[in-house]
Amino acid sequence: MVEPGPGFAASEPAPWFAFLGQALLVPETARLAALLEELIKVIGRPEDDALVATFRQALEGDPLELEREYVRLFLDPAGAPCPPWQSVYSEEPRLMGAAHERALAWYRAEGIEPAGENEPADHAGLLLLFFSHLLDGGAPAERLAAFWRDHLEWILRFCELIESETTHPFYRAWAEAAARLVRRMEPEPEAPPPAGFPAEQPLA
Amino acid sequence: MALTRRDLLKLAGAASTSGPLGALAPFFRPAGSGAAAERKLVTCCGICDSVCGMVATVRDGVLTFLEGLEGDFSGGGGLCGKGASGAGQLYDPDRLKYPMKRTNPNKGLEEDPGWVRISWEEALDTIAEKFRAALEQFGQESLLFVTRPAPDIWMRFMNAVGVVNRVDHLDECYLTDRVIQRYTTGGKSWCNDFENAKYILLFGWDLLAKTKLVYANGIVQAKDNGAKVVCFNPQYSATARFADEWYPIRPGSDLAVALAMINVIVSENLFNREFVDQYTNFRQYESQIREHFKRYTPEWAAAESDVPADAIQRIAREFATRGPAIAPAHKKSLCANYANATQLVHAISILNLLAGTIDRPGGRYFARTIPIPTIDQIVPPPAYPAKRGRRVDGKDRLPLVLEDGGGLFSTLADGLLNKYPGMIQAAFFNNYTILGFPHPERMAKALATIPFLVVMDFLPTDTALLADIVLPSSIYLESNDLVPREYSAKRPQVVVRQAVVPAMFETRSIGWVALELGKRLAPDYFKNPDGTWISLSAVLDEKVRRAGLANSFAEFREIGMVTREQPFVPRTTFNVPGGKCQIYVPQFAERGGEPLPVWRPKREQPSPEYPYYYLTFIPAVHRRNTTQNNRILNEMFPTNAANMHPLLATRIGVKEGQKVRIRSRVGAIELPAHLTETLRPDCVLVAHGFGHRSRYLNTAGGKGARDSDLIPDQTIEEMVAAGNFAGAASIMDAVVNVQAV
Repeated sequence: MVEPGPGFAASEPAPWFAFLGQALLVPETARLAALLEELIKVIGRPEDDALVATFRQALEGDPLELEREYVRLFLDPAGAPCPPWQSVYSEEPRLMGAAHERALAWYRAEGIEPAGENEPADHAGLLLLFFSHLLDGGAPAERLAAFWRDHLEWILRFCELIESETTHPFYRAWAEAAARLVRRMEPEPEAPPPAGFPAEQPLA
Repeated sequence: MALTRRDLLKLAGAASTSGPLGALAPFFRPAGSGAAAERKLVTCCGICDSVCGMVATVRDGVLTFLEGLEGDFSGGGGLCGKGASGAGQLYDPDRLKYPMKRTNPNKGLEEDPGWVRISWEEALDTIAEKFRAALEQFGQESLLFVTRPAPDIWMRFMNAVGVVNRVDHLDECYLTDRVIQRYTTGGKSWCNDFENAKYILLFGWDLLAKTKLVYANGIVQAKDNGAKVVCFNPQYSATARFADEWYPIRPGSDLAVALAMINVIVSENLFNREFVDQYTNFRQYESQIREHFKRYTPEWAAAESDVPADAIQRIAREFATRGPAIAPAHKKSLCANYANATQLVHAISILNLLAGTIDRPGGRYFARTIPIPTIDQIVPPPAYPAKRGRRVDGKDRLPLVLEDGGGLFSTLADGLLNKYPGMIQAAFFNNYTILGFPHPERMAKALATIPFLVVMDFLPTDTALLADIVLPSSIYLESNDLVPREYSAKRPQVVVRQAVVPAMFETRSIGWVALELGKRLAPDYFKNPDGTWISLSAVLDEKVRRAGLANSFAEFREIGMVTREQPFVPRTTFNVPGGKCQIYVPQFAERGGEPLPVWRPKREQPSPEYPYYYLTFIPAVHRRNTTQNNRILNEMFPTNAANMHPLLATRIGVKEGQKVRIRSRVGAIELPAHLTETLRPDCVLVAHGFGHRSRYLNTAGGKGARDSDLIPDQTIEEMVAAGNFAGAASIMDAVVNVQAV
């Protein structure tokens, strides 16, 4: 496990969410390297951030290997081990399920929609990028918490799956960073029922 | 919600504290008018070929419900389990989504192909380049297409390129019936007028469990109307339970019963004299026919089939005199199961002719249709190149199959591996997995010899593992077309097929691929007279207009269905040489076959080493090997088992659920035993469609075993020697050993 330095999601997690979201949407090494440089510029103090260094090192490897691993994990024609759509992780795994509909409602509330109308709106990359947009726009804490509960909690399972399936340094780093970041944004548990509310009785 | 200036800047990343990192474009765009209203759209199912009409409910771009279409002749206003669960296929997470290319040159089911995503442009350019190189260097015979002969623009593409090697599963399922019907009644027909039949004779066909609603509804109606149903089947099938009489016939001996029935009907002069005299060639060949069938006595047939002689005699008499009577011959259920299926289908056709019900109420009839012009009629192509070259499946050894235009699924592996190794340089598989072939392991080895393989499919099949390029296919719920009724069509009816949602991801139709490959490989065939490229939507509009359905496809989409009211007028001339139906078929004799059906045993017979008959079936809720990953259907029938009678289980010392090893001369599988008294004690029955190797197929991966691992494939010499002149694939012709593991 790589220990994050102070640069990791220090005071401004939005650029990290944007980076991780885009990394899942565009698997081209050159583009990812450029995005990483952008991230470094925005977060500052990259020199002591081990995760940034890991990403940088991973992107210096064979671009074809990275591309192959992306396809194997998320799109493999032999069946992908880590589908990146939230509806797949629901009780009834499918595409375009309830998570797609909810994500679409979130986007529309912000005046936007996914550019591809024929792709599910609950792609992990879109959700992370959108969360950075909410953070950037100064969305109130309760709104961030609501989005987290709706669309980020499952990312933790997704990250575990990636970590168990891949040995590629880029996607291992991705899963680690995404899991930490999502965990970091975890809202306080919702308030318990008000006092005096009758407790649920077990059935006789 | 209105878009603010900040939002527009944000799309470009200008206002983001994350800089360009936070740019929402190109992944997001300004929202439209919000959630779309719920819509109801008429369309057609595409899971099986009875293509039932249906109504799709679409909410905000998502298909939410499918139900039957009132007034539709196929589904009769209902849908079967497969049809109703279409959303499970559309939204299957494992769908192929983007074109891919292999980066690992080593091929095999255990090799990691090293896929990378590519653009459609790159995929099509690469395919065109490889196919062109093969054509220029090795000629037309070097290309293999494993694909249905549809849509018409795909046929145009194959004709323009001069493809001589094309096979598809229809050859496995329909070919034999197609060849026999062409010369006996004048053409393949799917229509069975069960509703008006009074006597229904079923050789093997479990038409209730086959779940083509059109047939299931028909036979239920027939029973309501007082029809008698007689069923020969080694299994006490759903239809057998529904029948008035069931005979657990010895596998592969249906032919003996049919021949003996013909003997009874002819020798006792019980046939429909009016029809036989006027519309068949019986009188012309009467002495040969009478002499030929004399040898097939009910007693002889009883010894072959285990059906009592007096029952055969009585059923023959009833069939001839208590009609209208019908003996439907469906596809795989009969026409391909055993090496003697060619003879069986001919015998069944003769039974229907003797009953006098071809194109008559209560019989097999020809569909009344609204002619829909083909693309070649709308945009006539330049003359197609002559087709030259060797046939990898050896079908040139079977003249009647060669003239049919199809190919042979079951001899393909032998052709690739032994007859013509190295001949096929490039191949295109459209929606076929090796699970559908007899002996898939051998087929996989054969495919690995092809230097360049393209697989187009909607799911990651085992064939895709061997491909150089994988193309993602759209499915019927994402397609536009016109669908005439062919299974229940006393009056013409056409139903629209329309994309109820946009094609998911980067999936495309095979028609679109034909056009794009055509532009690259044979451009002259894909241009309009004014030199512009053919447009698929313009052709569809023109089809609608010329068929008289509406002024445009958009207009027909709103109408949904057109039915022409007209009386059913029975045919008096038939599309057969001489205009009369043929009982005695001289053309068969001229082209390597027999003019009248003769007894031939099935290919594989029980022996001390393999003492049991091996039977397979397709569960009612599945379609071949294509629906096992549909979560909804998988829940109903998730895996297969070795079904056997408790007597057999006792003999081999096996209990319910215990794993057994089933072994044939070509392979072995292991499955849990399921004990059932609904099967002859000398048979083992296994469901087809399971044993997918892709472990990441979320639902079907790793469940069950491949039934076809036990089925031997064939050589063309074996087919010729067996008198299998109409090309039956023998896909249930196996015997096995069963032991506890």
